[in-house]
Amino acid sequence: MSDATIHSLAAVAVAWLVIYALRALPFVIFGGSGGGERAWLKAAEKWLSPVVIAALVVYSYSGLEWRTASPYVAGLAVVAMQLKFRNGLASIFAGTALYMALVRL
Amino acid sequence: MGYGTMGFAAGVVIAARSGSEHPVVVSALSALSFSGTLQFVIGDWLRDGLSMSLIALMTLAISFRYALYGFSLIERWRGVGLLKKLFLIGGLADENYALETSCRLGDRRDFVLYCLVLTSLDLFYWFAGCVAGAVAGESLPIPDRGIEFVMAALFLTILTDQVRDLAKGARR
Repeated sequence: MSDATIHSLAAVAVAWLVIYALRALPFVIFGGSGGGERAWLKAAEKWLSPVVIAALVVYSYSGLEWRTASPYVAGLAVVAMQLKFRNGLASIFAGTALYMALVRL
Repeated sequence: MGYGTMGFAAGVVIAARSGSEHPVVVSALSALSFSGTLQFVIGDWLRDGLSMSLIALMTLAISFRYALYGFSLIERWRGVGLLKKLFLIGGLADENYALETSCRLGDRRDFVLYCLVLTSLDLFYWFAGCVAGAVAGESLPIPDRGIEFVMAALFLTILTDQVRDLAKGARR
C-alpha cells in the first residue's frame, strides 16, 4: 500500500472517531442521570445548529467560483425549491445541475 | 431512498477529488462514518494533504451539530442494550435523525425496533451508494466540474428547514 493510501485510510479513521464521539457525547454526559430535557440544551439545539450550518454554507462557497454569479443563482434556486417543495434531494440535485450548467456557459 | 443517490454522489466526488489510487476502498470506509457532509469535503482534504490534527479539527467543526442530536433520544432509547445503542448512536445522521424524531410510535419497544430497522436500511443504501459512486467515478469519465456545489446545496437545504422551523416556533 502506498503512503497516500495509508494517509487516506488514517484520515477516514480519524474523522470517523471524531464523528462517533460527537454523536455519543449526550449519552455519555446524561445517559445515566435523568437529564435530557434541560432548557439550555433545547436553546442550544435550536440556535447553535443553524449558526453552525450557516457558517458551513459560507465555508462551502469558498470552494466555489464565488466571484461569479453562478453559485448565488444556483443557491437561490435551492432555497426557493426547498421552501416550495420541501424535498431536500430534489433541491440539491436541481441546484447542483444548474450550477454545473452555469459554470460551463 | 435519498441515501442511495446522495451516497452515489459522494462516491463520485471522492473518486474525482481525492487523488487516491483506491477511491473505492476510501469511499467504502468513509461511508461507515455515515456523514455526507464529511464525505463531500474529505476528498479535497486528502488531495491537499491536510495533517491528521487539522482533519480532526475540521471534522469537529463541520460535524458539531451531531453532538446535539442525541439529547432528544436519551429518554426514548433508555434501557436499550449496549451493542444496539452503539449502533443507533452511529446512525445519528441528519435525515435518519429527522425520521427518528418525527416518528410517533408511543411504545418504547416499537420505537426502538423502528429505529434499528431504519438505521440498518439507511446505512445499507448509503454504503451501496458510496461504493457504486466511487466505482462509477473511477471507471467513467463523469463530467465533475461544478459537482462540488452539492455540498453547498446540502447545507442550504438544512439551513432553510432550520430557519423555517425557527420562524414557525416564533409565531406560536
